[in-house]
Amino acid sequence: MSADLLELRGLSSGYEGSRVLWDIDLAVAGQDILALIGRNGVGKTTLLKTIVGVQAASGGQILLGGQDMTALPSHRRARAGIGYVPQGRHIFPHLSVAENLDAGLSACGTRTRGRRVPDYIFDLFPKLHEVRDRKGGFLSGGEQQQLAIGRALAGAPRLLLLDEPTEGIQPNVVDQIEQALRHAARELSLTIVVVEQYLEFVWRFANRFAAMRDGRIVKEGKTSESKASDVAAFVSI
Amino acid sequence: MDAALLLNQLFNGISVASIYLLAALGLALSFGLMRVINMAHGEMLMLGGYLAYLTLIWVPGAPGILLAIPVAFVGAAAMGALIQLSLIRRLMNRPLDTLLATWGVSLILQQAARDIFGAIGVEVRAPDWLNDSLQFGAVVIPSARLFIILVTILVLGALALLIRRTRIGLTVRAVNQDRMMAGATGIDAGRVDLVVFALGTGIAGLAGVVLALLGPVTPSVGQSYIVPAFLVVIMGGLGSVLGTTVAALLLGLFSALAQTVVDVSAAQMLLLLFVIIFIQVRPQGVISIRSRALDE
Repeated sequence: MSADLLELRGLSSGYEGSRVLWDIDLAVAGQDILALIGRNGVGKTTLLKTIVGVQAASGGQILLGGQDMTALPSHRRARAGIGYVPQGRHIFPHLSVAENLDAGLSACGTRTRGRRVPDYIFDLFPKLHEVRDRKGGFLSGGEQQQLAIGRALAGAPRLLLLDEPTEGIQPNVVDQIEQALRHAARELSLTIVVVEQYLEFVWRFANRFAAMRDGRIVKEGKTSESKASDVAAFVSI
Repeated sequence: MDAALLLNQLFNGISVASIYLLAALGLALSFGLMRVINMAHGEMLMLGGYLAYLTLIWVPGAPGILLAIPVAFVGAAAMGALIQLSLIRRLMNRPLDTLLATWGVSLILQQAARDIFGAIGVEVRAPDWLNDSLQFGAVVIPSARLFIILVTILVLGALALLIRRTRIGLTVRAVNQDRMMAGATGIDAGRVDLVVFALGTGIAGLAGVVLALLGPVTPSVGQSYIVPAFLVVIMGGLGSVLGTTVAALLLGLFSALAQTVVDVSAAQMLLLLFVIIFIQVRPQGVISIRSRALDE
């Protein structure tokens, strides 16, 4: 067994006949923070969806801690420790903030009974405590993003997948989210894969990166060894 | 028309509405969550009716009626679970095939009832206290109808508590609002579908017990209630509990009041006209599914 928490072997995926991902091989070691970068439409979101299991893989394997996830439905993958913060947040709009967080506890599986949403989520995002009785659909974009991250953390994941966490969010909230993610990653020994267009943001806390082009991973490395401006070519149009 | 007659008919309307509501809740719940129309839903009423009949042979009197309620609920819920697991789950996202397959189940269940119990209905012997009536001046309230209203209020209350206050209710609402994300947060949406479907057929089984108190249980008893139940679901806004309740009351009261003016078959016609006009004016139903769905 390898020391990698997440391992993708020859992973392919697509929608109705058109292939989006081609033979993706990727290994993410425990407690790594990997920035997944690339232009729009190169398959970053599809890759996250395929790992989460809301999009079926057409070939290859997904291993989490050495365990094969490829054939499992998404709720089993969530219970195995994959937390997901999707693009557009996907907050349950008619559930209150507290109920959205409670729903996140489902990833604890049979251990859900009698569990409460851990307090550290409100320490990370004090704003969520203020608005806890408000319906998710009535929150601002920044609040929804914090809630989506909080909901994923409530399920005590080992691996956190974030899809464009800064998209459409004001700069001061981006700072807050960055602080919270750094803190959570350190305290909870999280492994993170983050899809992001905003390179300066992601370079501040990712230690590795992988760049995608046309459904393939074309460059990998450490963020400390490549400058954000050098890989910007993969992102800009 | 005098006030006593009007009051009597109002009361009748509410009790008819109660049966419509019990019959329609399961349809509304499973349509709201799974976009599935179960054509065999009427046969869950029938099953509940026959289970009540059998229970009352075994345990006569008042304890029998009280026992028939859980027996019919569990029996119809088990049948619903069987249908969901064997057919509906396998026909996900194929609404036309689901319609056909469940219609087939409906025919099979009706024929099975005919073979077991005969084509002529069986009479449930209700305990005497249910054959009584309460009298307030000229207003006569049959106990059986009062019992029906009471059962319906209890069922609605229990359902509201289940959906709003329990963990399973939370998962039902989450799946209803965002099925993809519910799966990604660890909720087993397939299990939620099964529980909701079985719950809905179980409630229809309860409606069957209630029907058995009013008239004979026949193999086709479900058919006579399934059409109004569909009307209620459509008018209520396809999948909302509050909307379904309001629509059941509207239809029950409308048909009871129409019967004070015209005969029964003309009242049926007026009822259909009323639904058609209502849907023309408010196509989204009482409560729009996009705004609220199972929340209310």
